[in-house]
Amino acid sequence: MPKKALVTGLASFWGAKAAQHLVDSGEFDVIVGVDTRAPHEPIDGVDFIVSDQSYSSLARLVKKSGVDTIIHSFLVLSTASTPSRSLHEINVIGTMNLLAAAGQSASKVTKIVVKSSSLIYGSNFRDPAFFTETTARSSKPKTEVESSLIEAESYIQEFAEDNPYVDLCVLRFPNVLGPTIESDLSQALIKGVAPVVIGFDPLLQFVHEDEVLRVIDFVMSDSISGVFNVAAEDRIPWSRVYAKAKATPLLIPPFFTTQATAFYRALGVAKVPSELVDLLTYGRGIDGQKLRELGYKHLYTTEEAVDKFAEYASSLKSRAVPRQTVSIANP
Amino acid sequence: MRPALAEVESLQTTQANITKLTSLIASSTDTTVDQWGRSEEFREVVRKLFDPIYRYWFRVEWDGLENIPMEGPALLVSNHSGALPPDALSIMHGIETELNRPVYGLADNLFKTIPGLSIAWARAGGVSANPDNAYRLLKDEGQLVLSFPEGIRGPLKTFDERYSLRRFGRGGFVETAMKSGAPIVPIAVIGAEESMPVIAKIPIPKNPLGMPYLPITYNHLAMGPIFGSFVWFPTKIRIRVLKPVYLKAKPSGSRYPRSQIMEESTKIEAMIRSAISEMLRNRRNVILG
Repeated sequence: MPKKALVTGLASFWGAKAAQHLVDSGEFDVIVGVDTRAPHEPIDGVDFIVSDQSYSSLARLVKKSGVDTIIHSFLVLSTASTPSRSLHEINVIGTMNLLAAAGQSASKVTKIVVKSSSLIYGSNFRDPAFFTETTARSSKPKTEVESSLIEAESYIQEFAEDNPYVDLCVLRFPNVLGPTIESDLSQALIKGVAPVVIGFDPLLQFVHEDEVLRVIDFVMSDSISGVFNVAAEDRIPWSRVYAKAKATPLLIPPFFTTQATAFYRALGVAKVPSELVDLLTYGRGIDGQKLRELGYKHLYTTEEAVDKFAEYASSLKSRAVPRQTVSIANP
Repeated sequence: MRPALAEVESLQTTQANITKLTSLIASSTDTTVDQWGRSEEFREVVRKLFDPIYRYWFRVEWDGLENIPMEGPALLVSNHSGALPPDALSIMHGIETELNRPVYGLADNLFKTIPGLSIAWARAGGVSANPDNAYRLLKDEGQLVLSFPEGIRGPLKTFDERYSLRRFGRGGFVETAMKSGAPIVPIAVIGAEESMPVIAKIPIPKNPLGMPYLPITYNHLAMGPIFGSFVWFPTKIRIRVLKPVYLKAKPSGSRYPRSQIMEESTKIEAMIRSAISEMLRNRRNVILG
């Protein structure tokens, strides 16, 4: 039977990556990508369809095209880049409409993979060192991105209960590092800046961007369903991460953080949304045991992921230095 | 001349150790920090700094140290006292130097909110007193975990209430031990109470540190507001380790009967209480022990 896939957020980083990956795998006859705007460059073998932010037209699309697999990669994970109104539209209403489309009677969908985030656990001083998939948050969500993820995942939970024949995988990732990913933390480190909350050195987990598609691949291959944390066992202090990446600490006072981050943002130094401030204060750990028990082998540990990223970040720096000397020599 | 020279030398090493400590807090690049934030290197420096206090100031004496298992998990449960409680430091120090086993100290998660201290505390082996953390440390890692079920109510009791144990929480420590299958090792400490006795507690409004009271201690009266806040009286600290208690419960259960939890909790509380009163009866005076 021919396989048909739908990828959300085609113009976004992960959407494009996931669609390209499906094309390369050669397992799908039809790959449809939806987004509000066209991707920067068209991807061969992917049909692009324009949609509004909240995917209200998706019901017809799913019915007409007969897709059986959906990769929902389009969840916005930062309040810095998206205004809170559209964040709600994309994360909550978008997910709701997508699932409504996938759950209608004419739908042929049998597999849904959602790329979610460990932001759903929040970050608070009351937290346990490690969250399992079932550990409850220890604090109320503080930012729109966290509450929208909670709402989106609650729709997903309901959908899974109502449609037991659909394999639904929710993947919760910690911060992703890599040369191309558009995340606040990754981009700051590439610029050589590391936001540091004075007096705190949290323990963090990182996943390399290469790992993300590998995990999506892993859960696609079998009839795997459920919620999974994706993280290697180790956590490392933030100070070690930015030392490895040779980034300069950008000091954020532990009090009046919002004012300080707004100031840095206005200067264009770094975007540090409040969910990231919390993370850089208290850290977070997620327990990836459940996924490992299914046989998943991590590509990198947190330490290795950081090393790999640091290698890239410092190679950028060594390239940047000669360019400067040239410009000084020939003004 | 000799002793003076030695004193200068030890003062210099102390200074060097403090410098090392601050540099370790500032950057953890060279240290191996485990997944709880503990650094053996940092712990080593803390031990070096605390050793003279442990040996010559408090003259800590142990009894029944052999009751602490040389391997495998155990939940150490102790009474908690003194405005700035020296019991946690002393127990951790003693076990780590004598048995060469790391001890993870469970403490109120307020520590995590104080800039600077949040790092130092974690590097020195402090872990948030969260049942999940204790379970993980005992079950998955087979470590020694030190817990004070009285919580902050222990150190905050005033001097006239000394050695009267506060409620042992809701028996959460028993539940954690049952779940993980680890034995509970009760520990009784005397002398810590008088090292920094609380005269009065001044309620303070909402503050960034989240402290409910500002304790006024006899140390404040004797040494003034600054030194009185962190210099202990040289009391003799005696620590008695009691026989391990193996709980009759199947590990990894999702829930245990409340009655059984409370029964075990009261039993352990009583063990510690009777050990304390016996130790107090045998004590000649507070300073000499």
